[in-house]
Amino acid sequence: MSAAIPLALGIALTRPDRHVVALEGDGSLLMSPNVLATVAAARPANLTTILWVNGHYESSGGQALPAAPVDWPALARAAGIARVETVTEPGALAGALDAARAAREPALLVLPIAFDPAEEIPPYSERPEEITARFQL
Amino acid sequence: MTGAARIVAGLESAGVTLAASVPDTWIGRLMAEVRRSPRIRTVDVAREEEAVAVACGANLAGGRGAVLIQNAGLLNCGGILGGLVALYRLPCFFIVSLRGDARDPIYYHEPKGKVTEATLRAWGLTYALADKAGDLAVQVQTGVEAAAASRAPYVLLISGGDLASMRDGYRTCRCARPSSPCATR
Repeated sequence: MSAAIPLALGIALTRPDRHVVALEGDGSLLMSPNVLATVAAARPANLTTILWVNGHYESSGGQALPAAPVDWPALARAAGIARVETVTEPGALAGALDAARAAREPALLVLPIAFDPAEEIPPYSERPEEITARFQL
Repeated sequence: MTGAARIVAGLESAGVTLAASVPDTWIGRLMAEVRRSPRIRTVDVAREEEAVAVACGANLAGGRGAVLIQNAGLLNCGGILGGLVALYRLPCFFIVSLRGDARDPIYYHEPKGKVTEATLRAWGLTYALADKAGDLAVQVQTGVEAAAASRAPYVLLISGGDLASMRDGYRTCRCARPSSPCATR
């Protein structure tokens, strides 16, 4: 956990010819929100983070986060990320992502999503080495 | 040429393209030299685990990343070393300031110095102590290549005196006070 955004930052800085999208959860980012300042300082023009916000550590079993009403857009802006948008409708995501890619500055899209405690999380189906090989640019 | 310049020459020769860092006094001095390199992109991060992920991202994208941190920060990195670097078998080269060993004049680093090498051994990480009497550039290149070949971490532990010039030995170390090991070696 907490590695997605800095990993994406390293990729974005190394491959400025590609636009990199980091998919992050609120539980993971809550562990190291300091990375928002790191991204703001590095100012990659080709990095967008999509933040899923449901107040739970969903991939690890659905445990609840600390019950604090974290204002993610405000936190990101306070850390220096100017381009922040909250996307509340699925149909608006594609347009928001296109706008973020065109902005030429680090962007954060905050997506409030539902948490369903009955939803089954499937086990990982790929081996780590397969993921590494597929992920490598 | 200073030890810091030799280390940066080694990073350049090994093809390192990105250096992610949380500095202390010694690493900050080294990073000042890294920033002069036209070939290495520096990334200032807020916590050491980020530096590991940023460097791994560079490696995945076809570059070569390096992590420059203090041993206190390395001790923070157990989680990401297990959950990212070891799990996905990613090369990751570290230069770590070994605070708290006999050469460090600052008393409050001592607890970290006592456990650093033992922790590296417990984590199963390959590491080496920089030897200023030898060629630091070669030691850096060896570490970067070893990390790449093994797809695993490699940690090069340095001391403040390693960054000074060979001629001046440890006497140029700014942390030194008259009674310190830095001043007397």
